[in-house]
Amino acid sequence: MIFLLQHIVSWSGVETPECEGIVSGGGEELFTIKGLKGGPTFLFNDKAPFAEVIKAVEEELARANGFFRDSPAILAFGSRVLNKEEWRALKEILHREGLLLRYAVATEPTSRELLYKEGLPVRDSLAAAQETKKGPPTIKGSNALYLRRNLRSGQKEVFEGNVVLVGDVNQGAEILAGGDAIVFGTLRGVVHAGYPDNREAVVIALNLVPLQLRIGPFIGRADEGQNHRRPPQPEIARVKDERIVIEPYHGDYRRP
Amino acid sequence: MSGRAIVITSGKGGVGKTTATANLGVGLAKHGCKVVMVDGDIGLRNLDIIMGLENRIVYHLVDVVRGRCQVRQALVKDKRFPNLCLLPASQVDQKEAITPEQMRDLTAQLREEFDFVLIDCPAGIEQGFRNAVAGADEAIVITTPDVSPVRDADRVIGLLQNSLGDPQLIINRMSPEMVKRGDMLNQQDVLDILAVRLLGIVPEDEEVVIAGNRGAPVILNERSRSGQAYARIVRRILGEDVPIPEFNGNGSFLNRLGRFFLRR
Repeated sequence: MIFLLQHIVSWSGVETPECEGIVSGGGEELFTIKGLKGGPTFLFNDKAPFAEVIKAVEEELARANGFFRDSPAILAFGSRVLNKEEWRALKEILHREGLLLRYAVATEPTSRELLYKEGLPVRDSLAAAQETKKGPPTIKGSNALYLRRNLRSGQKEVFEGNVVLVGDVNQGAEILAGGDAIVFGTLRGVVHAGYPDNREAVVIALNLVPLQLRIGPFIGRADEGQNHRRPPQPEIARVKDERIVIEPYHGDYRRP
Repeated sequence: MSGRAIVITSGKGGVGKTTATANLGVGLAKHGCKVVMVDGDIGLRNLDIIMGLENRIVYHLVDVVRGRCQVRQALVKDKRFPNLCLLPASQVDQKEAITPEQMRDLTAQLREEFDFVLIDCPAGIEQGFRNAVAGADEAIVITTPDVSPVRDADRVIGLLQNSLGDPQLIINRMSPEMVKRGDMLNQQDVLDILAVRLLGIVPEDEEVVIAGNRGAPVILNERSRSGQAYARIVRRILGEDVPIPEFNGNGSFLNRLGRFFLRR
């Protein structure tokens, strides 16, 4: 067993994006702990008998001697079919060692449902989970929710990645995106891109006329005094100098 | 052959649902259709007043649903058109007195006998709305060209799309003068937002108020401009291709809103 301390320390640091994994339990890898930015991530071998996995985890955490106490942990179950007893057993060990469970990653539907019902947020993949945490560039390589319809008043779409909507977002409708929000239509409702704190996110719309716009921690409001007409044109909103700025969008995604 | 069940709804109150129901009912009856108007606004019934039929009510919708009377006993025949009936709401019950299932059964029963079942929906999107919508297979959404009714109409259209598909739209109380001055949303503004098929536009007209108070829907007054607008809408409902007069004025009111931030 190897412990790369300098990497582990970076879990609490903000700067380091990711560091490679470290701990493997037993001879054959029953699980791996990876130091990701979001916290130590437990990658469980989804083929091995879960009783053995639990045992290995227990031994490993005992050896770590309280090192993981108060760490925000992520649990990756892969495609394992998890039952309630197994989950409870694992949870008990992790709680005993003081780990704070952030969310789980699981692909198998019954496992997802179980974890969800047990009160743990469930995500599709580690990549998707990491995407919202990372900064630029948000356009390439990340996943997006694609919608082709109008969002009407009272309708809301929440997605942890980017959102692409072909249609209008009307007043009273809402999009909450972890990444960018692209609207091929008129944007009149509330869009929060880069939720909750990604200030690199952008909002692009063919006709950008919201009364309020949010990017990461910033909120922009329509200027009530200004009242000039103008023909619709594609525009891009992003954060510059600690405020939201809107510019015409000519298809050149660059930061000037 | 079974008739068409159309719910007339808006989300917001006071935009003219009941007036529209009465006028469409009378208009369709004038064309010889067998029509029943169902007042879905349990607890706040109004359709009987607009129709001038309040003194003829014996039983009401809740009585029918509860089995206290037969449907035909509760139907109030119009004093002008024998082929037009009103099924009044109860004034003493709550919206919860009936369920969507009961409303569905009732509507199914009515459409066996009538060409048109017009359901006057209460304001709001709660139980009363769900009841009124349950039995319908088409919807007409009414809005006035003001920002908040349009937003509520948008909400209602979103809810209807799950069950009935795209509704048709009537824009009520349009003032050509205000549109011309650019002080009111115009036809195109409203359609840009709501993106549904326009069934007609009814101009602002004080004759509507007079007609409502007299209990004689404005469509009976062939000289009033709103009456004429309703007459055209009725023909469109019957499948005729009747052009809609434009109410667009100069420039869009909406484009003057929502300018903001730092634009370079």
